[in-house]
Amino acid sequence: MHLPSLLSFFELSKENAVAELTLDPKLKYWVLLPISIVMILVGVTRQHIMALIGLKVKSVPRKKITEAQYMGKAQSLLGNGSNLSDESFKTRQEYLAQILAEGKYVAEQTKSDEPVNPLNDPNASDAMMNMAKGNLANYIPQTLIMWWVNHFFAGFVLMKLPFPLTIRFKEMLQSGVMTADLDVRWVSSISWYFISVLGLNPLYNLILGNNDVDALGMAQQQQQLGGMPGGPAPEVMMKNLANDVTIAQHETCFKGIEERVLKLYKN
Amino acid sequence: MSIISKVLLIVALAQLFHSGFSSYEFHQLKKQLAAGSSVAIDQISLPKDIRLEVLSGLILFTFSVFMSFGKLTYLPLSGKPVLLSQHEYLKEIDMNRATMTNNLIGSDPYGEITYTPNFVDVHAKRKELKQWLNDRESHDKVN
Amino acid sequence: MDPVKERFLTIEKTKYYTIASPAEVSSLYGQLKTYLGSGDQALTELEYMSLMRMLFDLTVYIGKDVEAEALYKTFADRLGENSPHLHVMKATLIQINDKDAAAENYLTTLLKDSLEYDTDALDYLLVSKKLLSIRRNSLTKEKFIRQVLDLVDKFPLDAELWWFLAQEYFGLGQFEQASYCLEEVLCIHPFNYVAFGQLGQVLYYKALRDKKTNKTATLEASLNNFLRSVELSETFLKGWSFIANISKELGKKELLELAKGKLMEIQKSDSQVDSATAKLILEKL
Repeated sequence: MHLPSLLSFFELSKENAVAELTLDPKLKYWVLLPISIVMILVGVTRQHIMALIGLKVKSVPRKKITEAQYMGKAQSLLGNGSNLSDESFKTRQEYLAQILAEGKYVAEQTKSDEPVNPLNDPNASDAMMNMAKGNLANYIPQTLIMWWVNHFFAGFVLMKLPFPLTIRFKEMLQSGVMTADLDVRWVSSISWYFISVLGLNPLYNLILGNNDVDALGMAQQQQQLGGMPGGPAPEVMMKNLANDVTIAQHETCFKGIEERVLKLYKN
Repeated sequence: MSIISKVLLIVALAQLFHSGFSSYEFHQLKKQLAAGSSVAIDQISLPKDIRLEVLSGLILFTFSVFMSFGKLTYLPLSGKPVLLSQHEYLKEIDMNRATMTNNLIGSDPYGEITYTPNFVDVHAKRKELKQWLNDRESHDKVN
Repeated sequence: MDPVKERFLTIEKTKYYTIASPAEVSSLYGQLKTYLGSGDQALTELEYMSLMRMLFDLTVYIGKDVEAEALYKTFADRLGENSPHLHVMKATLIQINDKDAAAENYLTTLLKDSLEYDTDALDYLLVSKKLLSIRRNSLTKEKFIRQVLDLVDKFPLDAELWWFLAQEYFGLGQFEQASYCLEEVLCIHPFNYVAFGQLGQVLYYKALRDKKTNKTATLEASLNNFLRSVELSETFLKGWSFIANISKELGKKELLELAKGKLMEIQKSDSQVDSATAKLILEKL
């Protein structure tokens, strides 16, 4: 951009900033607030519906759990082996490497090498069903509200943000309003909707109580049980773990512990 | 929360609210002036006392929040219910010091394993309780 | 957090109530009932449910069978009967209202008919543990241990089972096996200072029984475990008292002084039980 045009652009935007729009105060009560309230209520309802249709504790045959636990055992030996003395570690290393390589606790042997069709596996289709449900619960209300906002409040300018923004935000804040020169700080109704969609999560956490910890625990349990559809077969994973265990280096935490403790607590 | 921190909090909130209202009034006035006359309104900025009020409100608010922290207290799991404290405002980070709280109140954080709760012999437990209740009853009768 | 609420939650989480003395169980029962009746707003649903679960156990211990039955029904209405803790609770109710054999029967059918093919991570395990706890008195020690071993073969990542096995072996004087089981616990919970202490204790008893040649080595190993336990928890009474004893036997002056100092500190602390015990140990040293 040439310098003169840049300057003129600056002047233009300055003029725009001065030009005040006078908004009908009723817009606040009949458009801005309703959209916000509806968004919040829909969010809360969605959460409850998700709790009803989702969150089913996954159940599998007992052998599957045993299989997963043996893999977990190998991992815990690799991770926490430093708690053991050298000879204890060695016994466990040999034992685990052997049973994992043998595949003694594999729940079911897959017959051939060809990959299983994930659509035939009942567990996998269950997982996909869950995913589909989650997505539907997200998209249906979103589409509905967007239609509602577009139908009733198309082209409304609702409010002015109290802080300046760069021109880049124009697309985001003023979609649905066909004005090239309006200051970026003015927000259109559909944009308010988008901002609410993206920014309401902290509010939901406040209203619904924070369940992050539980969600994490659930996720871990799920992962431990099922594994993703289409992942590597358990035998293969066990073989890999057996290799890892075999070559694992061991350093015990008891090495020099006396000096460590003396140093830690001397004063 | 101590009384001082509560008082500070009330003062701070009052200041913040008042300064906000003042600022609102000022801007309304400015708009009316701009509409009515040709005064160069761009030159008029927010009066100093309103700004100072906001600042002092914020500072007092921060202080009150800091002063609202009390020392952490705990009740022991068994024995007399006395409030115990390590004279700390926050919990320890180092593992070896963080676990001191558990030792203080007599809790074993791994009790879920070490007490083997899922292998409790219900009948023995009930018998023991019954015995104890009977003993207490006969003891009460004697007294 | 409110200390009263925290105390109840800690007791529930650490399952302290399962080993508490009768007097404590009875007072805890009264306190918990009042507390839950008062309807603390700060309790989340999950916390409320786990406290209710604890109340159920306490009612059973204290012998109020009708109340326990009512609590079970509340749970069943809320969660449905087909969930891990509900199975265990039902077995307990059968145990106290009917016979052990009936409860055993209920649990075995449950395991065989449904859980073997359709279980979550908890269900099979909890039900099997309950079954074992019922069978414990009617079986010989060896048979019982064999059954526990069978279960641990299926669930090698359950620390409670390993700990239980360690206790059984320790009771039989089989210290090698006991220490193996405790090492498994340590692989699962790397910072479990209580388990380090327990392992040290097992090794200490083993050292007492060992011949002269091996004794020092085993004592060293035991000392190492105790040192690790106090490295993880500064005021761990058991750790320091054993360290004091062993370092006295092995002639480690510096360590003995440190342990004495720490025991003195514990004696001065506000903890009622620990400070009395520390005093006793210091007098014996």
